[in-house]
Amino acid sequence: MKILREQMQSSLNRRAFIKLSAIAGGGLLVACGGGGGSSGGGGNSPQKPITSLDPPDDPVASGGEFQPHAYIKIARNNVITIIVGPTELGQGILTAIPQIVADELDADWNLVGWEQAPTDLKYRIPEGAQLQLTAASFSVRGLWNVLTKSGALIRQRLIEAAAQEWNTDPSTLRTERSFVYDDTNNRLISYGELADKLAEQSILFDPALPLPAQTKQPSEYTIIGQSKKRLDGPEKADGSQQYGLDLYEEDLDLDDLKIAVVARPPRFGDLLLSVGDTSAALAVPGVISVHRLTNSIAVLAENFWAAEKGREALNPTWNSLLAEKLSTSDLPDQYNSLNQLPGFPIRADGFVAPAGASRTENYFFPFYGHAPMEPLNVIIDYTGTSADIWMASQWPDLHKIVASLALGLLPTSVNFNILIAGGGFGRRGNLYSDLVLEACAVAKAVRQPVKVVWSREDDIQGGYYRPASACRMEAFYNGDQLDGWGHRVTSQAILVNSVVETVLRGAGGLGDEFFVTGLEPEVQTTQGAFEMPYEVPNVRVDQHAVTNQVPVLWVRSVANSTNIYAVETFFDLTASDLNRDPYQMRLDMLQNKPRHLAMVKAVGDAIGYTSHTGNTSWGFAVFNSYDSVICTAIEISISPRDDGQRTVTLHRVVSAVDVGRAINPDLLTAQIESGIVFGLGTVMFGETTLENGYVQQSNYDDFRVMRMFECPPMETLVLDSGEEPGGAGELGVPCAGPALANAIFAATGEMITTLPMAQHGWVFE
Amino acid sequence: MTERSFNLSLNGEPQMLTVDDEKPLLWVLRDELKSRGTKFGCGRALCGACTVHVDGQPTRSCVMPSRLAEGKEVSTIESVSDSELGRAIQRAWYNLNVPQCGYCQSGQIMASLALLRENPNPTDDDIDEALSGNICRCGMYPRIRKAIHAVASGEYS
Repeated sequence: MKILREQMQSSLNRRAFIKLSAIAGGGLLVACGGGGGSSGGGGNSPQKPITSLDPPDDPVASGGEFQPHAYIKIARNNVITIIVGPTELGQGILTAIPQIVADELDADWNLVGWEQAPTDLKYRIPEGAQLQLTAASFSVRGLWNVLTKSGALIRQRLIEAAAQEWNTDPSTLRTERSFVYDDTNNRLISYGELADKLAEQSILFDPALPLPAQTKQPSEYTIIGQSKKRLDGPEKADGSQQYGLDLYEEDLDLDDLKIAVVARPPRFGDLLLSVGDTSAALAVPGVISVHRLTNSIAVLAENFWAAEKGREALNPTWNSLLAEKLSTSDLPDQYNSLNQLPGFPIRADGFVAPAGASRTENYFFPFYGHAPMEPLNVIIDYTGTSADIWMASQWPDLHKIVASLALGLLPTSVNFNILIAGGGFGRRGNLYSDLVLEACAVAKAVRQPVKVVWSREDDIQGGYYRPASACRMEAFYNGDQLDGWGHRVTSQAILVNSVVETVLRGAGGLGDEFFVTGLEPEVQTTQGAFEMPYEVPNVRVDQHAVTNQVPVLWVRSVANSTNIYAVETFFDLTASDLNRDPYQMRLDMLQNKPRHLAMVKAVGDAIGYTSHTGNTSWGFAVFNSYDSVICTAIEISISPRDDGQRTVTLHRVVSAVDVGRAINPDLLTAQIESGIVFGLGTVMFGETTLENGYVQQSNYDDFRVMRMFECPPMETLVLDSGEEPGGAGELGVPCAGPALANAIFAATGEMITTLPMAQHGWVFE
Repeated sequence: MTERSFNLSLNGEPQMLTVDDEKPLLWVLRDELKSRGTKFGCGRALCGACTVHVDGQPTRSCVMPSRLAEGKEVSTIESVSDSELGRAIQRAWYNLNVPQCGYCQSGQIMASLALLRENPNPTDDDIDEALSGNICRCGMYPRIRKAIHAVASGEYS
């Protein structure tokens, strides 16, 4: 922190210090809004203070810190802390949410800090699924109304408090940068000085209720829409940000925190017959004990290195009778066969004949893992009558309840602390709660504080992948018009539980009108197919669900990452069949989709597509979800290689995004470009394959993700439409792959329909 | 498996260790020396999250037996702000919003510091060569590249 303290604006000191006070001052809160208290006891996140800081002025010492609202703390020294409910996974939510609240509050941005919320009903997203779930690019759009109104409400209460103090008419007062001004009488008072009066008023507030506050007009925003620096930037630029793996016993005030690794079944469905001789494992210095769990073995040790060596020395016996023995090389044929049969109807506009398509293409997408940089881990201190859990969970309220069930405790006896995540992409929001369930099982076995750590190999071979899927695309032509469109998806279902499906559908972007049949189609696997945006008279989308024992889960952008690839590349195939330019045909067929149209045109204009000449080729793709729209175009050229493969050089990636209203254009750009890297890496070489049930990849050598030398230059145009803010975390992913494939098609006439691309002899740079 | 005592220097401070000298330097740093800005990502020198400098050379500490660091100068992310170049890198990282989840950034910064020390004006190809061993799953490569160029241009000096 030294450098930042010396070199950066002094407000950074205060920001870092705010976190210090958030911990130190936990017991000094005078009035906590929302009533009911924290369901988990404690509350403050264990974000460690940056201990090298000597705060210049301590709000606690100088009179305290007050919390007039579940989201807002105000200290006497005018430092304002915004409590953030969604989990910071890298997306920048710890900056975006404070920007929204601080703007409506008229707070001094230089004195605004953040705190990751506890697991508590107060911090659920009050719209959609009403969960404390960081997923579906839902945080900003799901909280927008309540955040703006909360800031406005507390600002109004501060004005009223000042009016009371001065015995004057509140309508004559104004606010600016954390002060209330009485211009008539030439006086001012800080929010910090007023905060205790709000506390005395004990404002109780339920974010789920409609709020009386009047919010700003967009023209009045001074913080929303600004490219502020990340509030967690300093600690992420100097290595002091602590993740779960960095929390040791002294950080958590635990005695005797040990490390456990777990030997899991080599194949999904293998059954543990016998732990075998554990003497070799126990002989490893540092190994403490070996525990049989229901279908796995935990090795407890002083440290991770010893635990891993202990696990390597185990020699368990597994029964393979019920094991999943599939080989992924068999799946394309199986899925394509199934896709020849009608599926469960998802969308039916007009009539699409069951046979006789002008063009049919079969697509195949492999399983694909998340592989976030921070290896998975859960810390648990289970005493038998209570538990403290620390986890970078994307779904803390679910994981807390699951932990309480697993431990046989009341939820009020489980304190679930949300940690900052070293990446997530959906893996840390598992509805099957595998991480926390396993940690509870280990804790019950070892009966002492324990951190369960997954190695990289555990992660890559541990399941919960994006399901393998196949799409059968059909086009029917009438003259030079695309008259009929069929899209059939075969995939494992992600949500097999219709209760969960019902709860989540609000967050999935589909309205109730969709569920007219009373049946609950599995929306997660037809995302992107259902919303096909082009104006085609006849459209049929249907779906098959297959089952096997490979655990599947949402991976960043879920089925949009596969279905949009099929939609957007098949569109270019039809354009080619109809002798039409794919860009112009998009414009023609999106006339009733103004937000799509605007993004496609913006990208076309930015790259000068219609006057493009030379040896390079462009491919386009467009996508709408999460109340946002993106168009991405990629420019490539192709050159032969001595080894017979071909090199694709990516020259430019240009995107236009309309998220309605960008809270922070620079962090939005980062999110979009992050999604593009994720999407490109996935289509280029991303796959998790199985042979006879054994996962073939184990680490970042054979599970390839994009690296620096493969990453193209990118430009992102942020074009607000003025709609309410939409989501951005997944938005960049789905278009990147089809834009690349369309560019390769434009250059070669070859459309890649079986992913990943690298298997067909393409090399990327 | 031998536990023995040896010396190394961590960020300029002499350290006497008594550890299993096969234990990787990464875990000696994290478990014994409480230097936890250096991250565990893959355990096989594939992702670069554990990058430190050993006698100035960028090194994957997750596969380096700690005995090989005997008598050597090990520097980690915690020492980056000791040099003007390191401070410039951190300013660039902060001002250009380079980190997302941030987990890989200690390694990215250590790799960038080694590159810029060796080559104050790296080309894109130089950056590709020096940084392609460091994975950023959030995909902040364009910003890392931009930040390195910005430091080279003196923008953050």
